[in-house]
Amino acid sequence: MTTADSVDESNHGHQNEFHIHDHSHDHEEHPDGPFIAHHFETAEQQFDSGKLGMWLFLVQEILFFSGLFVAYIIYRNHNPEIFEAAHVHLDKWLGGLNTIILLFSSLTMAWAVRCSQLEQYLGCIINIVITMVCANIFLGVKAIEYTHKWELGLFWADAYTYGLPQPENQNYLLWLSLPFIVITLLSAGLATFYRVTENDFWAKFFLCIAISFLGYFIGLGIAWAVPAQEHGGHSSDHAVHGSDHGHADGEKHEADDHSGDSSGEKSHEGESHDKSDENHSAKTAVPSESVDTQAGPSVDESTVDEASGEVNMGGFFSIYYIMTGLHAIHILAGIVALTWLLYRTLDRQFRKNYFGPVENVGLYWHLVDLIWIYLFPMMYLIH
Amino acid sequence: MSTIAKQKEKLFGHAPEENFLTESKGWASWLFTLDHKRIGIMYLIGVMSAFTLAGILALILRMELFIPGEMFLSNQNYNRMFTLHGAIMVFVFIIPSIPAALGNFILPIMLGAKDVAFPRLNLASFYLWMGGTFFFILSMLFNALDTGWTFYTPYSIQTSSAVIAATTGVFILGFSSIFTGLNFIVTVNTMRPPGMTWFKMPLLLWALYSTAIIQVLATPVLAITGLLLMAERILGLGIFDPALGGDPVLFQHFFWFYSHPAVYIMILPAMGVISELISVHSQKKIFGYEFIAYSSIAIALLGFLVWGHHMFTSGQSEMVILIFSALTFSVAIPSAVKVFNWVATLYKGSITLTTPMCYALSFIFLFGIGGLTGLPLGTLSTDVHLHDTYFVVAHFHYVMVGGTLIAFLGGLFHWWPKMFGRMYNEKGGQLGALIVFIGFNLTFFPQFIMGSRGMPRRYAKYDPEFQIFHQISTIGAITLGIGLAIAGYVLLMSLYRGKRAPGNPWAASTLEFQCSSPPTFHNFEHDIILNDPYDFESIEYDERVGGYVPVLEPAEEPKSVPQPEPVETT
Repeated sequence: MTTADSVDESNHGHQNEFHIHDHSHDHEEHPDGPFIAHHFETAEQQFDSGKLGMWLFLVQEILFFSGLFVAYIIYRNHNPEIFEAAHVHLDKWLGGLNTIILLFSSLTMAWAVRCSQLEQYLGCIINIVITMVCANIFLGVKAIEYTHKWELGLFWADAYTYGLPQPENQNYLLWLSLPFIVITLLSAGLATFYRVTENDFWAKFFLCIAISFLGYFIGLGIAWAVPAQEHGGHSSDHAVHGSDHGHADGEKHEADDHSGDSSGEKSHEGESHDKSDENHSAKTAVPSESVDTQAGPSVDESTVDEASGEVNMGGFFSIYYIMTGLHAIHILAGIVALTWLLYRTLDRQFRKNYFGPVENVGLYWHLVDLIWIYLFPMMYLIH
Repeated sequence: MSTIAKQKEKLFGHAPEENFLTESKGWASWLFTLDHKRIGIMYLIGVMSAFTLAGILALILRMELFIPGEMFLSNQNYNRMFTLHGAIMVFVFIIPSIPAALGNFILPIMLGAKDVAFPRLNLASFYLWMGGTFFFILSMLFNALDTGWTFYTPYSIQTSSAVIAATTGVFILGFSSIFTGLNFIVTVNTMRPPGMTWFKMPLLLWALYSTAIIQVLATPVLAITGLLLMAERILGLGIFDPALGGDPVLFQHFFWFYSHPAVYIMILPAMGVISELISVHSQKKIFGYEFIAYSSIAIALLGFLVWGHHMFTSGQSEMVILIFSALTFSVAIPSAVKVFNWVATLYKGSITLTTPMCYALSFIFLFGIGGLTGLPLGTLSTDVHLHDTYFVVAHFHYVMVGGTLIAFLGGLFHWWPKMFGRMYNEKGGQLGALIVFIGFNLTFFPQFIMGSRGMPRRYAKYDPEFQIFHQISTIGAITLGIGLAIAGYVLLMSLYRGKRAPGNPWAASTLEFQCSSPPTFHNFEHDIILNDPYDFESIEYDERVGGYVPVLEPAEEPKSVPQPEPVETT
């Protein structure tokens, strides 16, 4: 780096030959601001690079999920009856609720980007926090959905025990919620601590985190409240859960039951029958859906179930858990990224010519949203 | 004039007092560096270590095959050895070799940039590489992997060997590769200097760009495949496991959807290196620049459409086989376009048989054989006979070793003076290249013959009728090992005994030969002088510098950016 100076000496008479770079001021601030890296000429070049990089990352993400979508298509094609039978266990109202929550969080995310462009500090903070609250609500609802299925034994293929007696006292929900409880309490405690010690920055930061993670418990509450009204598969699952005892028998006779299935389906025969029972209660719970759910399965089951005997719905739930699970991991990653944004926004690092990180996290968040928009109808709204 | 000469000596001559190697000292300055050149050097050391390890495994395998029966490896250990040889060579060595090691060093300098677009991501991808390699070593130490590098289900679900550690390694290495590719695409897109349009880029950049496209588009599919395989083993998802209603051939589709394009991740950068070497060392403007550039992109895109040719015998419909077969042949077209262009470049060029040129000529010969033997494998009727025989082994070694490794070595010799500022012993380098060429052909040519006579791959024991071929092959492998050792020795000795390299020892016209050898931390201490990358008239020999310098005119405008018209004054 120091050579430039000596070269400059000899070069002096012939300035029109070369421009010798002088890097001696290099460790000082970039003329465009403190957050412009030394190897970029302008803030604009840095922004463009970051944005292109993010888009490529999103392409990569889509291809990452593409394998799962292909697996879904193939298994649905091979075993349509499993999908028909299994999707009634998913609560389309909770799924729909989560869709709306994610869509709303995309709005607040986009709003946060706009605020950071306009240097509206407070608006940016509020929107980031709302986005994080929504992310946590989503996870709360998801936790209820997951644990409810686990209690019924609706696991992936190898662990699938639906219809068999389930072990007592599994605290699935508690275990899932534990990290959220810890983070909420910890950040609330830290917020109080910093409030007392008058460290304004960290007090604000942890207050925002605590508020965000409260969203998880809101999600739990909503998901518990929804089945109280009579809706779709979720409430019917409760009914099934209650009569679990009867199912152990029902499972054994399943093959027999299926032989009469094509006729039994429409005439509501066989109360102990596992699948028609499911469809039946789903239909009675949501009368408006009854026509649709009836048409599909009755055709397929008559042809396929006899051959495959006990249809192990685990195949569907394998795909369901791996797809929604990976999506949930992406939501968690989004929460981490939003926390990073929250810190930087509170630190007032973003400005008119430097808001790339907010924009890029926003792009990522929209992609996570988009993937859910595909997952929801593929999993929950099968006809 | 004398001032200009002095200037030239300063700018294009020997290394300045401070370069990127000496700029800061200590372990931490290397481990936490964001400098693309240092990251490139760390990658170079890493991939060469992996290569040495996997190469030793290959030699052990060849020794075992010297006699038809068991010599010192049990069948189980033989399976482990060839699995680790293949997996380490493919995932840890070849894929990162040219893009991550050479590319990291060269690409930003070729663009006249100070660094890649995301230096921190660059360092992160190096550490991901380290992490992935760590898991591979782990899988080697504890119940070594024995599935073959392809991890085919259902065996990879049933075996007790360390599949999870290995797939974790593959997953992590995949993200290392994705981030490198992402970085390169953004760097080429946004950091080209003013005046360097797409068609004024050196061809290596086109090749690395095409490679990066594949890395970003294909590798995530491998990542999800690895993840699903892990989940299959841990949880029992039933997606690939037929016992749970899964489809094992789906795994093959997923795997080859990545791994076939990955073949082009391996060969495309090699083609880019060869385009540079052929042109520079025959001092002739590259023939058909645009065809070579477009053929790189064409190979990258067509590479996504041919994965099914790995599964001709796995139970696909005849129609599918027909389509994949036809698409496979279509990849031969852009590959052949490149070869013809290189040969046309050599025609009437002033060829000097420097070490890089020796490797480049070997490449054309060996890649020609490797590419052409791919055609019978892409034809259904012949593939049914040749599938899973040594013919396949010989074919992909001709492409991967005869292609990529040879190009990597050629590139390493070509850019070695730039990296470390030392010239190697030319005679020693040439000797190494010759022995590598002979040893390589001795190793793999007999495998074509025994493969076509029905010797299956991956067998620890074989019928005595194949013994002579195996013995020639083993002798060839030892020769190849000696040649590589000589090449390595020549390079390492140059660090101690080599004379100091000028900025441009090869009369090359690309930008990386305009900065000093080794470059300084910021690469360029002056405004770059942008010429056509293959215009050798714009370069002249300067005795005071001891190397080549750009032709400069005293009256030249300041900030001389595009200077297409060379002026012959001295």
